[in-house]
Amino acid sequence: MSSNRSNKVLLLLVLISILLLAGMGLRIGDIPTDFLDVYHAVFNYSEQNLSELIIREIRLPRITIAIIAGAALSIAGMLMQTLFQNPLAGPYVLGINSGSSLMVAMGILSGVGFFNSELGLIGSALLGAFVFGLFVLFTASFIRSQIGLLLFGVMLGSFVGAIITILEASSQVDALKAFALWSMGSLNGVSVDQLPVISFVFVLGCLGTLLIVKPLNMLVLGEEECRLMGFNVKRLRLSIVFITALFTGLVTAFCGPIAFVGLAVPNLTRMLFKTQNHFLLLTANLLFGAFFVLSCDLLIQALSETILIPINALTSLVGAPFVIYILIRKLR
Amino acid sequence: MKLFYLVLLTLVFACTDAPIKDKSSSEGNVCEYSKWLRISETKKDVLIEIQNPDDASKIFRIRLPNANREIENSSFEVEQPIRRMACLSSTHIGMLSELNLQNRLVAVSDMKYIFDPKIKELNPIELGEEQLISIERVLKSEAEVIVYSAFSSSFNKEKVLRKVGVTCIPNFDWRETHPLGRAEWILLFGYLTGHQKAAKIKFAEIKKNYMKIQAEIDEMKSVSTLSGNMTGDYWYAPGGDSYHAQLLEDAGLNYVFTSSSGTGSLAYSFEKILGMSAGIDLWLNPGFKSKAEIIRAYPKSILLPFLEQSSLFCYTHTSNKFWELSACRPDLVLADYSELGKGEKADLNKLVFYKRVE
Repeated sequence: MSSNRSNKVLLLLVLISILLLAGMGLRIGDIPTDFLDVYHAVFNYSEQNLSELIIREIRLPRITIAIIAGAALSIAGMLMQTLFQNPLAGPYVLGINSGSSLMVAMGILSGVGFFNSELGLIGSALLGAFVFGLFVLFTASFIRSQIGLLLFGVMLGSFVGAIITILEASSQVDALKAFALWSMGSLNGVSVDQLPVISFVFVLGCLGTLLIVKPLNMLVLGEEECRLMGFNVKRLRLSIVFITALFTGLVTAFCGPIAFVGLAVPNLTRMLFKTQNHFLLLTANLLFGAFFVLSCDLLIQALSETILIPINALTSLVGAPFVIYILIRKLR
Repeated sequence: MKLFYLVLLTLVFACTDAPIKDKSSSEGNVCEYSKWLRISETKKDVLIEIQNPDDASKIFRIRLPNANREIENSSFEVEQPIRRMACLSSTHIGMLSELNLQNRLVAVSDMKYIFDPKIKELNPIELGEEQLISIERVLKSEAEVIVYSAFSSSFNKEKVLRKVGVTCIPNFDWRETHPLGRAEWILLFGYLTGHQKAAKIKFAEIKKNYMKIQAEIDEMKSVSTLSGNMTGDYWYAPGGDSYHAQLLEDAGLNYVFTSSSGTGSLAYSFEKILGMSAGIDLWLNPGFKSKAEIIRAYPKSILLPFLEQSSLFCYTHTSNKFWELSACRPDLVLADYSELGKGEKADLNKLVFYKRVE
């Protein structure tokens, strides 16, 4: 079987797995429902029917955001890794996520009207991600070492962490509780009414990535080669930061921080597909990212009777060992 | 001077790993309901035993001996009655208030959680959160003892406080499963301060009121009652064997999780709560003052039919009062629940802690 064909088979298998998991996630829960309920909830919804209400208002948004968050963070990670030519780059490690967290913390902990509203939090998260993305991009022009850039990201994260700690120290108990819960990450906060907006932004980000696939392929060869092929590198860098900020801000605003997805999944796909073709990598990250977070969500649901695990903790538990493995491989 | 020494009792506090001997713990135990507090009186002395609920081998013993005392295993000696006390929980403060001993309180965790106007006026020193208290402020307050809740497995400042001569007394009232068992901890404060007689009278009065209200309650009002709210991704509610579940049962309310086991909190998914939402008559303790706040904190709450259809009550408008007094005055909480169980006929003016969430 040719490599091209085996790639397609693998992607198809992941797609089928996502569909199966999503079907399971829609059908299985604390309240027993069947596939007919799922069908009605999606295509012939009646608010009066409890099973349909649960599927449509609770399970459907959770499953959808799991797919979107996983895909968005993975694509964002892939973009960061290509931009910085560094397999250990990702929105979380480089501190872009910290920008969102800082802005959200300021919103929740300050209690200032607009920033504490739903719209304010989403706007803050997006703005924070974008500003920090630009900052990282600016700093990267001075730091040539891959490890140096990662250390910068870690320092940025610590710096932001310190500011958040100061904010927490002078906050009211209710605000502290709200922020602590937000920082655990959750896929349950999204409502069915928000799905069109979230899906629209996600599709916009995917289309944006699709448009820069060719220059991304060139960027792997180096900035000079990319420029020689007629691409505007400056604009490309900005586009990458903008799309990454869009994805990261979107997920952080609606789900809170979800760590390691943007770092582990792009590395996994590069290992599996052994390619620098960004169209293939985009598709792979989209599918594998969705599969990863969806699997984590279903595991959380399955274990909820025994142990309560926040999504951010589970993705870290699974993602961190994998990243450590990559680090060891890289440093050896 | 002799009289002074006769009155001056010495309190010996010892923490040993030895299990309580059945003899000492059961004979003449003053406490009727408490699981973790035992007080036995003899002609010679009074022995207070506080058992760690998580470790049966850990028993804190406080002996209040008379002049012929023999001190065993003593680690500390402080004068009794206690004149200067630091309390790190609202429930402890409420017990001192009920005994009208506010002037013994020299330090608290945080003044913003204080309800008692007399304590506010006295303005005790703030020590901070239980695990983060300032030792220097403890010294400044000149507290002889600190009563702490032991929410964590250990009180990390205990070792240092011992060194500086401050006795740390754990209070496990929050682990009691019977409301009167929790209220009975008022006796600890009574004995420590030399007001055991007043504490006994107070507890007898609370018990009498509680029993009276309970006896007056119709056998079954079948008021289907839910408690708790969504916090993060889960609905936290008191377990079926908890103190709160017992109060609801004693008030004749039909608590929906009464058959569940456990004395702590239950955590259920929103889906599960939605699935059992039909027929909820009374929703208690959502933790907010208004329905708008409930929806703001968890927007999907709007899907709960009982948000609009049931009676919704909480103590949030006077949280400090509730946390300070509800533990030592379960009779007042029971009276509130009993009134709420009357549904439409309830006289809301009679409620001490609760108010309708609009």
